[in-house]
Amino acid sequence: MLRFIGWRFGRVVLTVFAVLVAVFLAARLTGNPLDVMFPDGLPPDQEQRLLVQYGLDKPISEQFVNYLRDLARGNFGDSLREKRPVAEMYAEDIGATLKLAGCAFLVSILFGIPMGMVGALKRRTGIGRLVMSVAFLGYAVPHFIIALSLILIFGFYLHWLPSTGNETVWHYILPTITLAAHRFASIARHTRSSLLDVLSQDFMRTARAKGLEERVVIFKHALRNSLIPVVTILGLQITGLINGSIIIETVFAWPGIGRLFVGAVLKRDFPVLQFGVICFATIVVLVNFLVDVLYVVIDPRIRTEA
Amino acid sequence: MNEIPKPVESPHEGPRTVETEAASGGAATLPPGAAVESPTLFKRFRGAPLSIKICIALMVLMAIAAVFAPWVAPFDPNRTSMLERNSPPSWLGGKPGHLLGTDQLGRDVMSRCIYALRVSVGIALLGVIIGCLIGVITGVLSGLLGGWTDRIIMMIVDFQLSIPFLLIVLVGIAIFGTSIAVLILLVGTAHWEIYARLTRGQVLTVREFQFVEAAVALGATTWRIARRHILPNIASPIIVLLTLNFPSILLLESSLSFLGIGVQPPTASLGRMVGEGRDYMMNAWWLVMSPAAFIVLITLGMQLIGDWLRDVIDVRLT
Repeated sequence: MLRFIGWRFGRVVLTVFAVLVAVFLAARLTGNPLDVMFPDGLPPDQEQRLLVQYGLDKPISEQFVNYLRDLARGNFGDSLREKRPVAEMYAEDIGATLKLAGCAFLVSILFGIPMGMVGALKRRTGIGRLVMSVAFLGYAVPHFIIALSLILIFGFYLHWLPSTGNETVWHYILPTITLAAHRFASIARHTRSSLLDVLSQDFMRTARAKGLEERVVIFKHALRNSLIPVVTILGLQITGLINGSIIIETVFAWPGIGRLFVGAVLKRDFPVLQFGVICFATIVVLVNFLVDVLYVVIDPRIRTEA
Repeated sequence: MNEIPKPVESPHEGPRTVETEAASGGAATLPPGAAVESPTLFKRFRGAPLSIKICIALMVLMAIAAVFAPWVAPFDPNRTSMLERNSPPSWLGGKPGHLLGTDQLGRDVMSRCIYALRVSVGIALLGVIIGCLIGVITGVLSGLLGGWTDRIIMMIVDFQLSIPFLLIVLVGIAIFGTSIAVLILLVGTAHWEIYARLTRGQVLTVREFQFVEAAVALGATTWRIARRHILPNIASPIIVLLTLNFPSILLLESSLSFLGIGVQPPTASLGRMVGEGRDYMMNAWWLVMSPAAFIVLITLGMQLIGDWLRDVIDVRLT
């Protein structure tokens, strides 16, 4: 098991390194990184000065070593537009993102798993079909359309809920629903198919045959086993949460890192983008690593294979 | 739509198995080159449930509207009219003739949607084709050559799976700017890895069959083996993947255009229209909801068709 964790961690390091290399090369792909950083162009004397200042006149191998050294020291560069460290900007905004993503994640589990169960246990009835249709809609309708529809209905027409900013608890409702919609749809669909798989297993018949209560059979025997694959899906939700945050924060003017990132794309603020990609990628890779480890811990059957 | 055996999630979310997607409904028993499903597939369309038939009819209708936009659109999409600004849909008491109303410049929303449909569907189609080509070629190479080629390609696949692709696209746009060509290339490379994994798995299975061994023994080239024996066997799962991949590419483009970093004005895509209409949403909801309805119809329709096809062809995709 330790060997598996070590091997898996090696891959984490490799992937993060690959991201660093990719980001480094991306900035130099067009030839001169200053073109990327200052798309409006620069006077020649200033350009020469900046080339020296950023160390861009040195050979590329040396630039790469310097780049890694800067990152290792926690020096991620300054925003071109706001002239302050990018790490500071992300640190300010990450709280709002985490709160929103956390709420959405919780809501999606609280709704997704029961919905998937209903979908599986009542699959031949109207309610089961209805539940899975809702899940299908949540899955197939894009974030920004769900967001705008909610704003239109609850914000503009009914005036029940605020649609921009994050000052009060009420502000959380619409963005959380939007961000959770895809997640709970996907969790519900996975729970359903996984539960259906388990329900057809022999030990289910055994459990019923020995006279256990249906409640015990479902919750102890079926649900527990069926949630193992769902756990991996939970880990992979993080990718969806990041993708979703990028769009949803922009729509709801939510002051988080997703909006910061989109703003940086529009303003072509490369240091901000660079830090964002490294950050997001590291988070995703680490979460997936933890999920894989958790998976081995909760399901003894996999240990022998690993 | 309720009897879906295995939910296909966006490729970043499915359980990760590399080898298992091989089984394409009993390909093992079929003679070489006989696994092409197109004639039977056509028959199956006839036996499809009504909902699927409606979806297919709707998609065909959209495709016709997109291709023949200049003839189908009731008005010139760029003709402005200050007298007819923000008029609601005609059936809600707006100016007659404007089925989906007019926008802030008095342009006909219906006509604009039809032209935007053309742009969105065009980008998504090209993107899907690019992704499929890259994926199938790398998948075949990976499976047939094995060794280091295989390892390197699979490493790139794993790398792409582990990073939210939206980030890569956003950075790509920041670096290369927002032209349609860049956009197509970026959305095209968004999901190539699902094709690569499917193809590789299939190659690994097919490679073990005796008829392939015989072909190798007879001195057939790698290219010939791929063309004659591998590609016919992956045709039907690829069709399913294409159907399911198309809506996600369309969504990627609409999301980018919605954020203002995809298709640039004066070109309009559906996502772009939703993004532009947002500012006027309070007074003119139809500016947002009309293009949004087109997007939802296409994605829902294609997703349903894809789910149905997958059940019919009986492929397991990760």
